[in-house]
Amino acid sequence: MHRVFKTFAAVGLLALSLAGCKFQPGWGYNQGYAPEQPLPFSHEIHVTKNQIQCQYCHNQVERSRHSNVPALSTCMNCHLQVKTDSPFIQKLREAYDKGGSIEWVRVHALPDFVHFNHSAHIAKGVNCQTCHGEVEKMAKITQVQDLSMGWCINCHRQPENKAPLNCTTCHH
Amino acid sequence: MLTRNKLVLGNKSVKDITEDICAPIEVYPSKGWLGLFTTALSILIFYVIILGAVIGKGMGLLGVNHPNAWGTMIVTFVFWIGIGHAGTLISAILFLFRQKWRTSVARTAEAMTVFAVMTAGLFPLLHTGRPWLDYWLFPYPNQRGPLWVNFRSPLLWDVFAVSTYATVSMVFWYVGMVPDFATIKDRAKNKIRRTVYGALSLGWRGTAKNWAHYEMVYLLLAGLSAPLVLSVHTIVSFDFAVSGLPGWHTTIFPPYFVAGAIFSGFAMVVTLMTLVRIGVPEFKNYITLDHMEVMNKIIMATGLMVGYAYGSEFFIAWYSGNPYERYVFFVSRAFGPYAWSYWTMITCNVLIPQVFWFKKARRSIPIMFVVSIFVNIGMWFERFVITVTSLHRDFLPANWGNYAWSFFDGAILFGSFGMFLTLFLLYLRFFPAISIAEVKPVLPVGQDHKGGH
Amino acid sequence: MSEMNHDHEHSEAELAAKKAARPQIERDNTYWLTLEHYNNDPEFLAKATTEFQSSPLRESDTGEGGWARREFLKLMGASLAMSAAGCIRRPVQKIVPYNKQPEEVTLGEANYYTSTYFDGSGGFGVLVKTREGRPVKIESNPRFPLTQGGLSARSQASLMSLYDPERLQGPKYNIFNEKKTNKDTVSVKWDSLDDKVVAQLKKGGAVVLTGNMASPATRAVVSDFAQAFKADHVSWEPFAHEEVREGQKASYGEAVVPQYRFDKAKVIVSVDADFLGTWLNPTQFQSQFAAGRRDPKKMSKLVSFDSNYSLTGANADIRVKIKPSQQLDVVMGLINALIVNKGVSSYANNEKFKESLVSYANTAQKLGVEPALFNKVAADLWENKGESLVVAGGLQTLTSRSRELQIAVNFLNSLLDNDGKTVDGKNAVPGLKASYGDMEKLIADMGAGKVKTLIIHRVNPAYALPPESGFVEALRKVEMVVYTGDRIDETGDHATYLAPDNHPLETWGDAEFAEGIFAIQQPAIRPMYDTRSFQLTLMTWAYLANVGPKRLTTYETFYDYLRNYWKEDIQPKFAKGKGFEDFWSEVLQTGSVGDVKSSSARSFKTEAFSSIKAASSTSGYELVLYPTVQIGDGTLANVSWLQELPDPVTKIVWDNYVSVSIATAEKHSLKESTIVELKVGDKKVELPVHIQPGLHDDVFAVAVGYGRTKAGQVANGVGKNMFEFVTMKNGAIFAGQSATLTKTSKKYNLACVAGNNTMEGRMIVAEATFKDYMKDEHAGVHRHKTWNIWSGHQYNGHKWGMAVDLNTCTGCSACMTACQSENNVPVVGKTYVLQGREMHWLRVDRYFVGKPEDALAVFQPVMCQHCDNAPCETVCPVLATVHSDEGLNEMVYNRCVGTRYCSNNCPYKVRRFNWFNYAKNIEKPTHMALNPDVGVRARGVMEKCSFCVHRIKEGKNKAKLEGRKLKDGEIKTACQTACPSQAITFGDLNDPESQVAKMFKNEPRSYALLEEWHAAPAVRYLSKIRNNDKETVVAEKGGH
Repeated sequence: MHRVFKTFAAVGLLALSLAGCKFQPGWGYNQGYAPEQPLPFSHEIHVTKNQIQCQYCHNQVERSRHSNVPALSTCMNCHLQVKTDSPFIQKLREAYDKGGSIEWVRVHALPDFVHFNHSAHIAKGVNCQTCHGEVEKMAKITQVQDLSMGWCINCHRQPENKAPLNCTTCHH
Repeated sequence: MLTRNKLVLGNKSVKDITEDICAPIEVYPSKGWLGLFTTALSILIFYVIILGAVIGKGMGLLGVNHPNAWGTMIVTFVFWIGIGHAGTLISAILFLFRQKWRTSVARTAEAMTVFAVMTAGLFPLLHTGRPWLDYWLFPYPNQRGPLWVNFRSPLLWDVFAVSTYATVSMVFWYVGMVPDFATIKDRAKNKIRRTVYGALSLGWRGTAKNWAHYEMVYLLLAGLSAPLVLSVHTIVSFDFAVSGLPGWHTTIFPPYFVAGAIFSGFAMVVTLMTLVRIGVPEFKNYITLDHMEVMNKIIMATGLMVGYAYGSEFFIAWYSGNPYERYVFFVSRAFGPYAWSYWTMITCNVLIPQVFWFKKARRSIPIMFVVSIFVNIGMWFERFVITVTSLHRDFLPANWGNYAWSFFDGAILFGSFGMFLTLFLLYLRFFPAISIAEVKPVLPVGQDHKGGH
Repeated sequence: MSEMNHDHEHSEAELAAKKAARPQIERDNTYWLTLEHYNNDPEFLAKATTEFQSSPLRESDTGEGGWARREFLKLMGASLAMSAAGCIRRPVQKIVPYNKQPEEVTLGEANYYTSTYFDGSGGFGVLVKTREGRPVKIESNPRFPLTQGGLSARSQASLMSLYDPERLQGPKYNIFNEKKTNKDTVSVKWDSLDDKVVAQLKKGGAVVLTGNMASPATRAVVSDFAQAFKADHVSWEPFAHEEVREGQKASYGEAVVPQYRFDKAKVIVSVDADFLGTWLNPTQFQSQFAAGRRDPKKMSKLVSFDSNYSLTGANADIRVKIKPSQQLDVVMGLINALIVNKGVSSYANNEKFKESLVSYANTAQKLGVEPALFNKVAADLWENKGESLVVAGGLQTLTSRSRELQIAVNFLNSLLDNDGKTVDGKNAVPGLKASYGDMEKLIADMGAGKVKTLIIHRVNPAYALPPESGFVEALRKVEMVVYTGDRIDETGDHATYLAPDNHPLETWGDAEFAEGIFAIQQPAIRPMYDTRSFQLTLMTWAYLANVGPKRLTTYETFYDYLRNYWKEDIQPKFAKGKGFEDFWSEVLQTGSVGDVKSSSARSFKTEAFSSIKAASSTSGYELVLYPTVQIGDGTLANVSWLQELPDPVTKIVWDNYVSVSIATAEKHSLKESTIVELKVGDKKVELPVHIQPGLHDDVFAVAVGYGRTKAGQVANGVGKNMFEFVTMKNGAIFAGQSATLTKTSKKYNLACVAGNNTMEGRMIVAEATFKDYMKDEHAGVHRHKTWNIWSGHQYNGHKWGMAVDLNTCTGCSACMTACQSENNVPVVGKTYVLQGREMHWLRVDRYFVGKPEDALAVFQPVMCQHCDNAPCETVCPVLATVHSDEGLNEMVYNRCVGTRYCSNNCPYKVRRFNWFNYAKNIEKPTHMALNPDVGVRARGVMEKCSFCVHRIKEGKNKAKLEGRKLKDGEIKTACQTACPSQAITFGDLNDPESQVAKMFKNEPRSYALLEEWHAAPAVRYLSKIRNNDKETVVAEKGGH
């Protein structure tokens, strides 16, 4: 009799633990994702050390749904003079002269059925850091938040944010 | 004074009963069983392939379309759920009413219930556009906010109703079998058999304590499942009744569906019992003509109820003065493109069961077999009539359109029988098809055979 | 606005680089039964992957750079792969920024370019919406004077012809065998092609064969070229509108196609002129017509004498079914009714004149209409002298007596003082010069070997001319044929060289759709393939041969030529005393310059009238060939949007068919879509039958434009080519040929999206006659008392609503294509339409009312009604469709598991289900036409009209960024912008000042569809008013 109950219990526990990992936060999300980039671009150096504003490079973020990754021409504004001896800058320069580009690895990716609008959030005065973490301290860009729907909603729910909670706010 | 026919014929001794009932489990399967089983199994395999195709390619393989967004799968779902009802009714409700005659048929009826519900349960899950996301139908903690399910949706009630029903009826069935498993274990010659049935019998020892607990649990479960008999199909009927579609939007649906369910359920029991009597001749003494007759009476009675429901639907349609409702009943249903299905339903469900007014018919195995088959057909068409003929011509005539029949519609219906029969045949082979523990007490042992005191 | 040169030739190196190894494009056509598999041409695939995602502004497209942009845009644009994925670790994606940031491209923000659309007969100004440098939609240009916005279904579908996978990738050379019976096609370089052609041209005997040319600059190029090489220029178009010009010439001395002013006309009589559907410039005419009917109290009256059930007939207040041979009787009958019966005008005492009318005295009886009605029409015309309009024209009128018909119509218009008022011959439509007569002459010359070189541009004679014309045979006698078409089609098949022209969206141009109104055509993307604009081609040849006027040979690109032309020939007309650059940039901004001018009457040449012979009575069946609204002359037949766009009247897709009347069908015991054999003389064809209520018993009507054989995988083999039934003897005869019909035993399936032809007596389209309406403005609308047991939703911010005016809606279906283009709505193909699985979010329901034999039609666009008590919302188990706080009924595709309960519970049945994975069938490069703002739906999810919620979001966000309140009418849905008659109004119901709110509250005609069901929809329909002197509408009863 006890034997039997043991078996039942075992099966039950197994099932529970499986279910557990399915619903454990962060599962299937890219939280903490920090891939190697083709060039070791450091936001820390550019933002904290050299005091460059985010919008200097991501210049379309205020008027577009997308925050653009700067064109090579933007980098070259400085790097035609600055640090031209660095092999990485030379690589950049090379690509620029060839009329080519750099294939950065995308870190913050939302599914295609999510329509996020940067300009709206910037206009509302949301800091870049709120979603992207302390980028100015990052030598290598890392996904800090899990960017799950629950995480978005959590902010939109706060009455003081007066943010819409309609599904079509993001999904259409 | 009135004497009751014996519930068990052939002056069986207690030992005989055990022998008879355990026989099919202990002897090598008969040719008949093997034949039936292989057939059923191949149909099941075919079924699996078909379902695979539908999941792989999309619902478009079936005839469902715009405006008939529901079709064969939902129809067959309701059909099987309906079948499921007789079992619990017989075993639980009749048990509560202390109907001794139920004992020999209850087990098999319950088995039928369990398998029917299993067969049915697949459909609502597989008929969705993205079956791999069906778990969204259950409320569980998630990272979407969290995003819960819509408790206002009848479909969700359905999910709960069916899963509850499946669980309870399965437990009830299983608990009923525990003592018999023990019997089989004790009679077992080889080790495997002993361990397996031993595990199944949950270490039953047949002590007075065991019996006391058993009786209590069985009574409680009976009490628990009795209301389910009514609730499940009531809620299934809400899938239709709660919507606003003319032909669906009807208050009579709950009782009408329950009656229909019991109707079809008993028909299926009769079909199976006749088969059992043929398949396992010695069971004739336990599943007697009296049993069959009682069930036929129920079939006739419920058949009349269903007939009444059909009538009242028309009356209300006319009485309501709602043009859309009227159109559905007086134009599309009775005379529209699907009139054939409507009249098939009427013939099979209302007219044919009337033969049971005659005792001869009630007690004739061939007749009751044929009738029960007709009732099964009729009840499938009832669900088809409700689902499709209501959908295919609703409010805006520009949307009207007929169901686009495809090979897969037939294949799915056919295949589902494969699943059901395979399970049922396996049950006949490995489980005690009649409750030994319950039949013994109804033996006329120690009673005055002349009758009277 | 972009001003760069698109017409430069690609260097060989660049080409080679393009052809460098590219990833193969996977294509899966599992379900696309009507679109068979397209065989992978590696060269095409190579180009496909680089070219399309390019920005018009970017530099060269070689090497890394090409890769880069492609990848970048793949991320930014709407990609299909992930739409079904839930929470799973995603594959590594790359972000590849621009090399140099093009200053006008803001990622995720659309750019709009003013441009024009011209289909050979009519055209109008449009805006081309581009995202990340690729055109994604044709939008209407409200500043275009002739249409004030509004589009046609075809103009929007022309976008897909840009992305047609079967376009030619570059110049080709057909190597023929001796007899020119067999050929081998090879690619050539432009240079070698140019050399060969120039050498050939120098031999003389060159002819340029073009269609109608709306572009003045192009006309200049062609005439310069003709002058340069002593070449002839022949214009021909399947829809030539020759009859109108000839009629005008005979009546007024000038061969012009006049401007018509339907907005100024109180009474319009159309004799088989389908001006709302297919005749001349329907989009312009619709906006005019709507303007004359927007206020029902002052609405115009449209009387249509219809031999085919045309869209115009379907919108008529009074529709009289006739057969083609009766067209002249109608007009002469009206003249007779005025001059003889009514005794008006100076002709009334001219006995000799009256004699010429005798044979037309009993027209009413001949047509089988009560004389009272007929005379009333005449009387109405006279009472509205100068404010009435009689039109006839189009294929349906091209009988042997078409010229007489035109003269009679002109006489009647002059008699009614309409000329100069509603008919404007002074500011005619330039560029409509096409002529079958010239074509016949050309064929003769070709046959006689006089033509050494033939350059064919923008017409497809080998398809659209009947075999009896002998064009193809004659073509074989021409030494060199150069064809500028975009594919090796029926004509390209016989061409020596294929010098593919740019797509209109790739090239500069201009247009003049009415005397003195000039529009500009801007490119929205640089040429995707190695193509070259027709104009530059001609210029290059002249340059290489170094002949012709200076301007032809000096400029390196057509863009320079165009600018110069505008500087010298157009700007002076608008001497605003400003520099050319300002003028030019202003034109680029507005898209056009000039406006509708006033006109004056011309004197009618009475002698022309005497050329009209006495009435002849015919008997037996007559054939009517007509163009359909969706396919037209078949040029865009390879665009699946159009093939799946239901015919406005018959609601049939993917086919042409013989329409017969109910009586005729009974007579020959024909069922819908039985196959019959149609015979005219010795020509015969097998077609399915469609039984058309309200058709004349003696008429067989069949659409042209189908039966393409070399148009591409979509169009090939769809329907039969009825141009083969045209008779060519001094002019073309499309109508009135006597025909016979024999039943065959074969069955066929016509895919019709209309479930039922009648409303079954339900109040779905509320309709009232003009008289009723004047008595009671609520006429025809039955109101219900409804009440809620719950308080209902609270809308504190916006509450979106839409109003549709059924009185101005003509059913033209431009909205359907707009919706399809805006919302990435898939095409499913005929097989699945037959199974009731078409995907249109917005459908136009058509019902017939009245006696079947002369049924009248009503139209009703039905989109999601965004109900306040939405039945779909309560039944969805997973909350995939919910209510927004702005009154929208939201459909969340990625949450949907596909139980389809919502569709069952929707009384309007506006929801569409993805039965299969249609996204998989989006073939590159057509995926470039997808709207990135709208998700592409996965298999197994429900979808429906969203009130263009992405546009609402965009509008709101724009206002927010600019820190202002949203203006009414700022947000427009796709269907709304496309509607030529502005029948759709959208806006905020919470703003009491908004137009739509007023319509909801104050407009007596407005009603909610299925009000009694009380879903409380956010859409109101405005009842239809029929201006037909009747007391009550023909009851909806009957018509089964």
